[in-house]
Amino acid sequence: MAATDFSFAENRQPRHPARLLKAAAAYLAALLATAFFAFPVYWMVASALKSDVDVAAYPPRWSFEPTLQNFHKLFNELGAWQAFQNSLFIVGIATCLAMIFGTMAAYALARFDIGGKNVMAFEILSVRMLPPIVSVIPLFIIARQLGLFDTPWLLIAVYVLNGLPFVVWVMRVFIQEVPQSIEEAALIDGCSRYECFWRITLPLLLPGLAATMVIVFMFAWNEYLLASILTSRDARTLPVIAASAIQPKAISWGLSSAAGVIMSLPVVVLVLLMQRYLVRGLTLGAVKG
Amino acid sequence: MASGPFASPVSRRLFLQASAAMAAMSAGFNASKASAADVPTLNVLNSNVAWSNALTNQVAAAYKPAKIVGESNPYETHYEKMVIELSQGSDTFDLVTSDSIWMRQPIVSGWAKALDDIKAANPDLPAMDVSALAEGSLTYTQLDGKRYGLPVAMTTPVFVYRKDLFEKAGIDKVPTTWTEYLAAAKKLHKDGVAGTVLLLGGQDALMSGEWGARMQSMEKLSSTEDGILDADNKPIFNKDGKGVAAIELIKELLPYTPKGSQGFDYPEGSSAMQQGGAAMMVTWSDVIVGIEDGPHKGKFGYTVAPVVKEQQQMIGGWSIFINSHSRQLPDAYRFLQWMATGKAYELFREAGESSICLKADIANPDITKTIPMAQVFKDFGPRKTASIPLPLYRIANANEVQRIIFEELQAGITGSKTPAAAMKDAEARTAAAIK
Repeated sequence: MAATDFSFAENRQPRHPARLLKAAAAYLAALLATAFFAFPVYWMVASALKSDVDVAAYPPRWSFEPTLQNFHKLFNELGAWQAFQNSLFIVGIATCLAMIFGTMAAYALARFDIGGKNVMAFEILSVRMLPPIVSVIPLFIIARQLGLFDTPWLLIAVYVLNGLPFVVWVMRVFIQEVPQSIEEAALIDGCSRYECFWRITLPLLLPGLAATMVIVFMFAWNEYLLASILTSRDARTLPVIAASAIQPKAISWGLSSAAGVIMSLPVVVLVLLMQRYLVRGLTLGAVKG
Repeated sequence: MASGPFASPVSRRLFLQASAAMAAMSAGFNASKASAADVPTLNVLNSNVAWSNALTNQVAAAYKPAKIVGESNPYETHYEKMVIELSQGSDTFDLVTSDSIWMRQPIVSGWAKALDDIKAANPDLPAMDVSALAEGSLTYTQLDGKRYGLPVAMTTPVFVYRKDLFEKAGIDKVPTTWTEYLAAAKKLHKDGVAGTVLLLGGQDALMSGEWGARMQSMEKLSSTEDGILDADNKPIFNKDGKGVAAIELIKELLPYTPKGSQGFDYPEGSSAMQQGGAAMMVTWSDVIVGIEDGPHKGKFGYTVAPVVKEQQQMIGGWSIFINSHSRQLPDAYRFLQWMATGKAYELFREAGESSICLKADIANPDITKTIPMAQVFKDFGPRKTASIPLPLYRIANANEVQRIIFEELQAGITGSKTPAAAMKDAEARTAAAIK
């Protein structure tokens, strides 16, 4: 042990002052960057926990007695709890469906020799090129004709349609990264095409699936325009309630900050849960050997 | 082989379990909608201000013949939703609340049902008596002798100022003209406190509030003239250079405003006053609800907005009307008839609404003890202030035309055009857009 310790000490490079300074500067820059990006989040959380007087104080109060009055108002007067449940239900199902159908479509486009598949892929993507405002009135009319207005099924359908192109395009790239020879080996060993997809390809796609799912979830979770026009009271989602908390003709920074906190929480939780896959998913394919 | 949804019997079980879970979630969702239907339910397309919260809470609780429910909407979405819903003949909403500047559109488009027509079709309904409500507040819901709804809040531009800062700066006389206002702003602009707030970033705030309030007081108007368009809907807002002069008045105040004033809309302006960042402001009376909740409570004074020449002020506010496609026209009528008796307006006031339209409230000598801002209506008498309507109230696409004028005003104020060029372009674009 002593010899090992000695050799370690002997081999250790003496720290040059310039190198130390460089490392310190890098840490300082990292700290400043973190503080810069984390400050708005801190400000939102702090404002949500401030009373009306504290949130209006100028210069800002850094030390204050926290209160839950804004959250109380949000849940009891603005119906945020119902909207939160609606959001989870609608966005959860829409994300799952978009991932299932989108991944299968992406697999077909990546693996099968379909005539005109590039045109098909472009057509799928073109759905995303349409500004949402253009589709609002047609969707409203269709929803009323079908009796789907102000139901979660309408928003689920819309969010699945919105999410599909993204899933198809991103997952197609991830699937193309998986060597086809692995699947061919499985097919030779007796796997059916479905089994091959389920047992061989899908586990290798987990990082990509996680990254794509988080992004699709975030798109749908934060969507406001369609949710505000295509719902009334029963199927309202959280962004609509959060927008209502920002009262244009009054002063309600605390309330709108509380809405922001509630809006952010599920996304943060989801990202933390998926963190292990996300890092791999987001960097997969970034460097090609 | 191990498990897998496409390869083993487990997949069928999994499928059935997933289906059952979906069905349960669906049933749970629908169950929340089920309720005892002893009384009719009236759905309101609502705003998200003090009176609107009271409408679906305190007022709904006080009214027993029907269940009043509603969805609150931010200002811009409220207008978009009103147009989309009503133009498509939707019956989602029985009652619709509307900024008074938007009211002509639902009336002339047939989206708002005349109360007189509902009464004529249902003679058993009680008569609508609006005598308890202030005259000025009733303007926007009547056309060609028919009543299409009721006001819910009556607003006017209010001059808010910090009494303590006035005293400190030695200003004895509260400004009554824009020239005096400019002189006061110069004196008050020090020690990190801006002389005045200007709301230059909001469409309604700039066009109706800042520019409209100045321009409309330059010549005598009758109770039906808005000074923007004549009786034939021709633009007259720059007649004799009025529009340009109003822009110049705004520009003179720019050096005495807080940083970022050019992006300020109602909330930012009210917050600047509430936090003590500015000494004066002119804004709509419904915009500064909550200003006294901040650290400068009790230090604010309220009075009538300054004028250029003529003692006249806009009366605006919010209205409520019945959707002509509602399947419950008589029930909606009964609710409005009950509102007009006054109880609902008392509940609005008790819930914190300061833009009162009940005559009894305005006449109450003690009203300023509970609503300090009500002083503005009290000062109408001593100042001999005549009420005039909101700009563009007679056209069906007021919101679109307001947007055009707002864009040109911003160009004239920020310097990307000269005020004269901005007004010339505004006249041309307005004339082409008016419906």
